[in-house]
Amino acid sequence: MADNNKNKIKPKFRFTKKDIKKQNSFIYQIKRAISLGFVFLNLVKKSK
Amino acid sequence: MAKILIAGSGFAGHYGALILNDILKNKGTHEITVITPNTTFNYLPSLVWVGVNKMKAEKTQFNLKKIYDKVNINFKHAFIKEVHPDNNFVIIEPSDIDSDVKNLNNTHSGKMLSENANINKPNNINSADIGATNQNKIEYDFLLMATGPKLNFEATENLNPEFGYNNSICTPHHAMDTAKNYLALIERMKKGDKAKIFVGTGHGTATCQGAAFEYIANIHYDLVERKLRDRAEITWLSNEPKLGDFGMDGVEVRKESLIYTSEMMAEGVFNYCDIKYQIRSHVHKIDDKKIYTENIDGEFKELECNFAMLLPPFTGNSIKWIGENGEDIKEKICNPAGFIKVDAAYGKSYEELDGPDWPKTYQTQLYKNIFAAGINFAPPGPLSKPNKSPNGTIISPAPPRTGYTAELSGKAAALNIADMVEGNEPSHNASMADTPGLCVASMKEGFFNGLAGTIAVYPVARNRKEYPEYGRNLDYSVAEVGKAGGWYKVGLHYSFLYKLQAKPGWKIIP
Repeated sequence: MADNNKNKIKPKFRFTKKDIKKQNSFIYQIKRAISLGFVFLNLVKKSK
Repeated sequence: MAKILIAGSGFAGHYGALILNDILKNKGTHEITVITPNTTFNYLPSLVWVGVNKMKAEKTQFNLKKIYDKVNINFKHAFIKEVHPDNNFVIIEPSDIDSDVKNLNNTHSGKMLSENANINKPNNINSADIGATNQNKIEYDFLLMATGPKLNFEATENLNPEFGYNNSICTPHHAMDTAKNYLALIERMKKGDKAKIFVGTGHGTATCQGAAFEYIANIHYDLVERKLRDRAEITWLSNEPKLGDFGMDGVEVRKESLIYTSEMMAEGVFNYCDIKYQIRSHVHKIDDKKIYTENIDGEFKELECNFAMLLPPFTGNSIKWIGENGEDIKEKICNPAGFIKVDAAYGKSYEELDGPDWPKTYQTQLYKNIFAAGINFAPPGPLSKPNKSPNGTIISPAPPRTGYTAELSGKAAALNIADMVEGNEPSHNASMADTPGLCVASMKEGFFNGLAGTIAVYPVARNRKEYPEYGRNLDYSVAEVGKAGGWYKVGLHYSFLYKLQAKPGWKIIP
């Protein structure tokens, strides 16, 4: 397998206070849960 | 009538048995027998909570015999000592292990197969010594090997928790001991002691970094809740070539025009939680004061430590493979680590290895009626880039094939056995280069306050033939931390335990 790190854009990532506030928002997490649910369902279909 | 033996009762073996039983129940009289030294199914992904005393170990297990009686599967509480593939029989030895943690006063109680392999069960007996009587000889038409790994603590000096220097969350019994040791550390910290805590992998070839990641995050948040976090220095010690590698070469996620990686996610979590890290490291030894490591540059370090939870590498179990004339044929069947070779392309270098080389049907090529699934099958190579220190120490995480991946391989092997029972060729494919990987790594326990890192990837093994750029379809990739993942982690605990107890509607749960 080739090195997958080649040509990758790698911005330095840090959690900011704004990120944390957004992540802790209940509404945001409900939206993420629904979104993740669809991803999981699609992946489960792929594994059948 | 077909006689089908399933060795092991973990994700691959137990789920494979349920699937096979369900398919074959209306197709003639077939006999399915599960041979396992454990009395319970153990839901290992939740042991991380047992290890920080947030969940009772009994909530992670259920009695197997009750389930098998309900669905008419035979249950043999025994070890497999020998497989005679030319004559289609196995030799078993009754197990005295009670893995039910509620019966902790019994001999060997709370222990499991993989632990038992470490407590010197006699490996040198053979069928001639114990006599191939009807009790210990079981014939089969098809055999599914899904015994799981031996926890190879012996690979690192003093790593075995029995010596008292290291902890483990690999079995319910280990996780309960770990919780006790962790609570004792908490008591010392309450009195003013400072603690140096190390979590990660205890050997250069260990895997299951995800479980260790869960444990380190749970420890951090537990200490925050107890207002003791400032008295602990927590360090991630791992063999990964990069942070967030998890033994599967990391994950890339497309976010608009940028590529966000699991490395960034792990780095973000560790920075936010003030967790230090030392990666690309092998552990040579651990004692009451220090961990002795060597990194990829060949540098040796001695790390002062008060509490460690370092995972061991896995090897295959000590089962003998005997040929037609009584000769040892294990080398033909297994790779050097003792895992069973199946329909993969073995012998390729890391650079040459690609998706199509990963096993599809999990059928062994020498004996078409034997399959191996879960951790038992030999992978054709690592997923993460292998490395070696200048001193020759291998620092290369083994590919993870536990949990969902184990279940998928067990299911495919079961469906392929059903194909063969009906006179067809195996047709079901669960190659790691064609199936997704899902990992919801708990960071903080609880439904309302919980937190988890969610990692989804398709496929697990990079398939550059199919997806030339990254080897994966980034439309399905996820790497994020949040409460939503925490809800899924709790949901997965209950839904898996429901499904695996074959309760009404279990088949519709993926």
